[in-house]
Amino acid sequence: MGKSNMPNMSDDQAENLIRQSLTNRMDREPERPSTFFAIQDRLNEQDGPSLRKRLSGISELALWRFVPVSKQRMAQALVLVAIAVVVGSYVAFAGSDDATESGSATEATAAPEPTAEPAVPEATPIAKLTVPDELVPFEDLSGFSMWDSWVGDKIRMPPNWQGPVPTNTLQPGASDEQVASLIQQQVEQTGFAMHRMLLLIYAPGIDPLVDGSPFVMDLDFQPVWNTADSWPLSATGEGVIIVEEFAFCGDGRGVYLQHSEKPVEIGETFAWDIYTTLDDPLGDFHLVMTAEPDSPITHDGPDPKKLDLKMKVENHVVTADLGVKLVGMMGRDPAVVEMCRN
Amino acid sequence: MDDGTKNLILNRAVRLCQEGNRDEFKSIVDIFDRRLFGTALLITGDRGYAEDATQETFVRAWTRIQSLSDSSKLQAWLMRILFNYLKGQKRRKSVPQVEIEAAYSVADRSGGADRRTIEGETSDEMYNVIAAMPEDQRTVLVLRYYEEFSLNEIVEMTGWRLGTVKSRINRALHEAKRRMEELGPVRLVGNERTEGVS
Repeated sequence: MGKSNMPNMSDDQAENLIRQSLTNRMDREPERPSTFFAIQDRLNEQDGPSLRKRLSGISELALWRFVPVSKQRMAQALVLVAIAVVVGSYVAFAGSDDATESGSATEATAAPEPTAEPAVPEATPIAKLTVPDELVPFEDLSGFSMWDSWVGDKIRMPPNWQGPVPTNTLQPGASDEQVASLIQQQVEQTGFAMHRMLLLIYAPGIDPLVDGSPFVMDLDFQPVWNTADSWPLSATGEGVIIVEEFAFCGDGRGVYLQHSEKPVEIGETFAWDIYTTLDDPLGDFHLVMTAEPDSPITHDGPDPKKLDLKMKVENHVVTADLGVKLVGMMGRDPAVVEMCRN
Repeated sequence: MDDGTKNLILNRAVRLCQEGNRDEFKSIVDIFDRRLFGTALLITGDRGYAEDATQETFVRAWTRIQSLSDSSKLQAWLMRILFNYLKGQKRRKSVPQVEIEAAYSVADRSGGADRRTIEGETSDEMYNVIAAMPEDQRTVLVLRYYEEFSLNEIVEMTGWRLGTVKSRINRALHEAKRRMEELGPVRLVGNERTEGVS
């Protein structure tokens, strides 16, 4: 191609030329038979109304009764944020590098006693987070999956354990209080900080994990984490009904980055905290989320909004008192780190 | 058909479809068929693939039409299903794309003519430039300049952040201009300036 000797094309000129070129291309396209006739047989095989009943079953019977005053938006957000706890726990337990980076590596014997009364964050007012305008698309980030290796009593080494205790685990004989407290501490200090999270909620009756792990470990990728291309699950997957994306700061602030239904709410700041109780099975945890007064996401109820969810993780899937399956993917993003400094 | 009449037809069709009336779905297909196909064709550059994507979009729309709470957003909703299908297929297998050299070879610049003085030819060359772009850039150009969607509508359809949409459009525009300028003097469409054209 030869060197140009023409004057620079303006944006308007380029836009007009693009419009015309695309329109001209389609004007030359011959008429086609209606797609309807081509898909009639497939439509006959589908059962739309029954799907509706299944979907409405989630919202009316399970999800929304959880938070009766704050409606769908807040309930969705809370459930999804809770997934982050599990993902974060994977980070805490699977990678000592993470703990070292954040300065939260915990000695096995140093876990503090859990508080009898959970400290619910008083997050109003909280410092507003300003989302950078140019964030790398999530699918372009290297990421890692949630994991359930810490479920129940796995954080405490078995009674017959010989040898050193790995980082972020407890010695044999450590008390239940220490187990609960360490879970809380590590999720708070290591799991959440400076990460972005993409969360997928599936319609009831659809189990995306039925055939095994939700993520494919790419052994050629160092460190051995999942890469974006190795994720067999995606926001476009069958059965995904809601997609959420959050960013979490180590100081307890979080912010919405994306919602599949209401992108206008991007940028909403909230506060989060984690606590555990001995009344619940070891490994279960509570997430407390607090929105600002007059928050767009909670404007339809009294302020401040303060909600408490009890969560459990089983077989890579977080469950609350709900009928849906949830899957989360985490990515470390320097832009989030920078955002949280403010 | 004016917009008001079309909206009335669509509102009724959506309501009846949600009640399980499959025959009413035909009116929805007929209204949006060519538009979805065109978008898919311009994004993928492959007619057979665009046909498949269009069919799959309507089938998925039928199975999920109960979740459409606002029939006025039907078009954006259909486009989002189409986009998600294309994106999902891209993860599973390589979507056919126009090769750069093949794209540039379409327009005839033979005979020693280094100046393109025919608007149609210039338009074809711009199309080929677009066809040779990465799919993300091609997608935003099609949604913005063929479908004439607003930036917020594109955000809603693609799930991309507003800043991402803006930057991809800007990059695509810049790339289109650069490529066209590399090709040589051009008659600028829709503008009185005709520098470089004798």
